[in-house]
Amino acid sequence: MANAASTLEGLNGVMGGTAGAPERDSAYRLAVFEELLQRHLRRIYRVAYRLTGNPDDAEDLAQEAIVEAFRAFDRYQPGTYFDRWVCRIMTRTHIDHVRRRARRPEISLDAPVSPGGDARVTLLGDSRDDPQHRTETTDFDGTVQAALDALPPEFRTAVVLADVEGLSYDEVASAVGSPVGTVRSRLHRAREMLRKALRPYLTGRKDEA
Amino acid sequence: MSAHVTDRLSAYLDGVLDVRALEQVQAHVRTCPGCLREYEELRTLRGLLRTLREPVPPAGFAERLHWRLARDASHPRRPSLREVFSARPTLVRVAVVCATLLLLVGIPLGWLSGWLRVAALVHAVGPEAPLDMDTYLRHYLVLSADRSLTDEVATTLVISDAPAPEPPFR
Repeated sequence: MANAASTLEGLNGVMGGTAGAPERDSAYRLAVFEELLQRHLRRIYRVAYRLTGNPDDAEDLAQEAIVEAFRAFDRYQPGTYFDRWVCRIMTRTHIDHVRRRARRPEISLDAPVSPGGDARVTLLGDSRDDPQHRTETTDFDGTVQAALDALPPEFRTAVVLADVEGLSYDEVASAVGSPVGTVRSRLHRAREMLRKALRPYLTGRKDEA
Repeated sequence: MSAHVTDRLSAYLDGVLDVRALEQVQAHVRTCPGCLREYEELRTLRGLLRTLREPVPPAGFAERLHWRLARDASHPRRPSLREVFSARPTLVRVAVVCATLLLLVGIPLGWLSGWLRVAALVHAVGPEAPLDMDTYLRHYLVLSADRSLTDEVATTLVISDAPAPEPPFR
């Protein structure tokens, strides 16, 4: 508790623009940011992983969002949820990435080139063929992740924030910058798509297609 | 039996329906096995999503992150114009008002003061208009920048009785 209070005091000091050498301010700002980050890093990475579906992209997305959050740290209001603030930045970054990638598909260096086959996939140096990742995705968790990956990015974001992370409609709306009604409708449609994709697991009959 | 309530089951599950809609859905689900099954599946789905395994970050994730943050802190990047404007919506409004004022006031004023008319006249007359010495030299230097040395200067030097080019100014 005392630790949290000292962090908040420090944060207020940094954001209040107290006079001091720029280098010292910069190092102090980094220390305060990293202390907050330590407490929420697991959740931030978890959201990044569920949004992207593989460890490499999850790291890139989390890193990009965190660096962006650090640059905008002056605009963070102490006392509000730090992890939700970073997740808000991350969901927007992710949706931007997906849209950009849809316009300019990249060539995977790891994709097998088969005669007549299209080597164009959406990732450069992707980890989907890593033995570790393959093992991870062969279980039920991987099946759910594959169903999440198949959703349009806006739907996936809504379902990850609401159902995986347990955020309320208002919080999801604030994170994605859309009205609550839009979130409600996206969530409904996303769950419908997931329900259809995962029906054998939901009814407890795995052998039925 | 009342109409199916599939489009409201998700909201019903989250408890965000108003009282009237809630009663309608409850009454329907009690009598419709299809909607009831769908509701049960949605509930199971939400439960599964909440219990997914915690993904483990790749080795060195925290260190790489720290390194990037430290680099960013020691070399703060200058924000782009777009970032500056998006961070300060007031600045956008001020810029728009200033640009509008400049257009609305500046153009008629400029026209009335005659400056624009003179500029337009000079532009209309174009290269036929008499040039002063400075303008001629500027044009000459620009034009000769991509000319090879043998074209003109060297020829003039070698053929000493070739006449020097006459400047077209008066």
